[in-house]
Amino acid sequence: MTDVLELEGVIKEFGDEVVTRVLHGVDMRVHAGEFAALVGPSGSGKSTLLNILGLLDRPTSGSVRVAGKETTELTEAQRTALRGEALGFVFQFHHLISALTAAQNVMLPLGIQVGRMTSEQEARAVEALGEVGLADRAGEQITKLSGGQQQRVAIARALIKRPPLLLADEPTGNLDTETADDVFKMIRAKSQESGIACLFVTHDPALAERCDRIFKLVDGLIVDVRPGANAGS
Amino acid sequence: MPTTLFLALSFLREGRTQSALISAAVGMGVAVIVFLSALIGGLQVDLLAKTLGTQPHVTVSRPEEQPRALWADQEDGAIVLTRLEQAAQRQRGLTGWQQTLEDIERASGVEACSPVVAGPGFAVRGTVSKAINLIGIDPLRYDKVIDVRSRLVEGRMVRGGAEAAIGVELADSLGLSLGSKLRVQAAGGRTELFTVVGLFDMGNREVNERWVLTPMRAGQTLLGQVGAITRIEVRLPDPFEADEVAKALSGRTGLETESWMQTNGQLLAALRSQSSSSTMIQVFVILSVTIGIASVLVVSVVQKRRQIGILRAMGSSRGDIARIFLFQGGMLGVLGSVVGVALGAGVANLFRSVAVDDAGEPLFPILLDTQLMVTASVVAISTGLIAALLPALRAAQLDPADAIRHD
Repeated sequence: MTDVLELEGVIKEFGDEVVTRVLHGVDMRVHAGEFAALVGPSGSGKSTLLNILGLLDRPTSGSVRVAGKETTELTEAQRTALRGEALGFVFQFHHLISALTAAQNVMLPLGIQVGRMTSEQEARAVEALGEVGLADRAGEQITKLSGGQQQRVAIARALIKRPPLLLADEPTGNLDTETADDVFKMIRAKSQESGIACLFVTHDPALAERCDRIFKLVDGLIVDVRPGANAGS
Repeated sequence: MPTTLFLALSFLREGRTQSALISAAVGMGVAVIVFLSALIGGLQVDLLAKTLGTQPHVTVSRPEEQPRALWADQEDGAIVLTRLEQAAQRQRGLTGWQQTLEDIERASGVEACSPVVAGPGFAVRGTVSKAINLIGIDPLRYDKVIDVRSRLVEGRMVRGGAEAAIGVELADSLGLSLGSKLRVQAAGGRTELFTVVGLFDMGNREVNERWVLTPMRAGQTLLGQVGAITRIEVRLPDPFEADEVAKALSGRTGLETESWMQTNGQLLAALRSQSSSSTMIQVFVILSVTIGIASVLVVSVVQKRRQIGILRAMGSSRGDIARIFLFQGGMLGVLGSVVGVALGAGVANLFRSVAVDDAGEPLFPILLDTQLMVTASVVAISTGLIAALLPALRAAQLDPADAIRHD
């Protein structure tokens, strides 16, 4: 099975005089189309690891391969380009652009990729919003949508380019149980439909158990990798 | 539309109150620049036109005679100390001037040149006599250097023979009108009877009282300078190049040259200090506008820190982020320049129509041209871009991971 994400011996240290090691040699692989959970207590290094996986930060040492490309030696510009091509992001707080409408937010990754905003992109964005049940809200300003709707817009934005890997950083952390369940199901369904692998970071053990595999990070090390007890539900 | 421009417009639209306020501030600054430049430019052009309306930009004449000591050095090496006294300058004509005239005409930076024979004299009518400045001219050439024709209030320019054009003040004081006979006596004692064919008003009392223009040949005869002239008067396309052109012409002809800038030192100093004051005011206005735009954009970078992080996560380069803020600065400049040019031109026109004399003529000349408006707009847009540079660089340098997690 092809891996869209391969980490080998990833170490991350912060500080010059007083060095703090946050990641102690992380090894993990996420297969193409797989829906994996990353769990761990606060301070275990999840955010640091996610920044490295998302090519927003560099490891101190070790290897990070995204969509088959070794990323540690890439230049800033190459990392930015790969981030745009191969990764989709969904965050705990939707992080949408408040100045834009729902459709404009969704089409933005396409616009950034080609450097121009076009009507074709907008049509695709409206279609993508339809897939998350928001076709009728395409022209609304983001600020007029509810938290759940905003998160669905963020999902549509993350998936519009069909990236091989979706990084979801506690996307349900700020939602009530019912909406969180909706959002989880939506991410799972959309990534499965499109064959997109997803690394779903969560504090919710029940949601984690519904993933194909669970990576457990404790004190900067993956201490457990196992299948989800209710995978596929 | 480019994505960066689209985002810049969206950000400006989102903070529309802030954008409107800063555009208004830029507009006020541009309006001050437009109004001040129009007023001071108009005053300077008017003053310069009045001053240079009756004098050439450069005068080429024969060098003054220098006295020489006959026995300064003895053969035995002894030096006899002498006191050299400057002799009174004789009226010496410039002969063979035709070649020099052609040479000057071909020189770069020269628009027109004209030979002139001039000297003091008296205009006599009955028992009244007035001191005058007798000027013999080639009318066609002279008009290109000193525009008398458009200032004729009656009659025409001299053409030939014993014709004279005189100033309105001289005509008044001697009771002359078109067709009157005027006896002119030159300093050397020669006299000639002229017919008045034109009356001019050069806008300068002294000129109107003293100038008597005659055809070249009549002037030469009267002043005892047959075949010779006193000087060549030169007009330049740019009066402020007079010093340089005068120097070049001196080297070219070997004659003495004098620019209007040498003879009007005080006026020039006044014009320069006026320009300096105006420039200083404009510089401070531009600085205020720059700081205003920069502060708004710096705040915007802080407010949009997280969104900048998201854009970077989605694949925007540092250059893209910088461009978003540069576009915002540029657009604030464009908006401000449109508002400012309209406001400045409006205020200038209002001032022109309100500040008038009893005859309804504007008290202050206003020079409001397209070039001024284009320059003010370019300054406003450049100011916007320069002001946006620091915030743009700051935004581009943001670490995306930090920016996304920013609270």
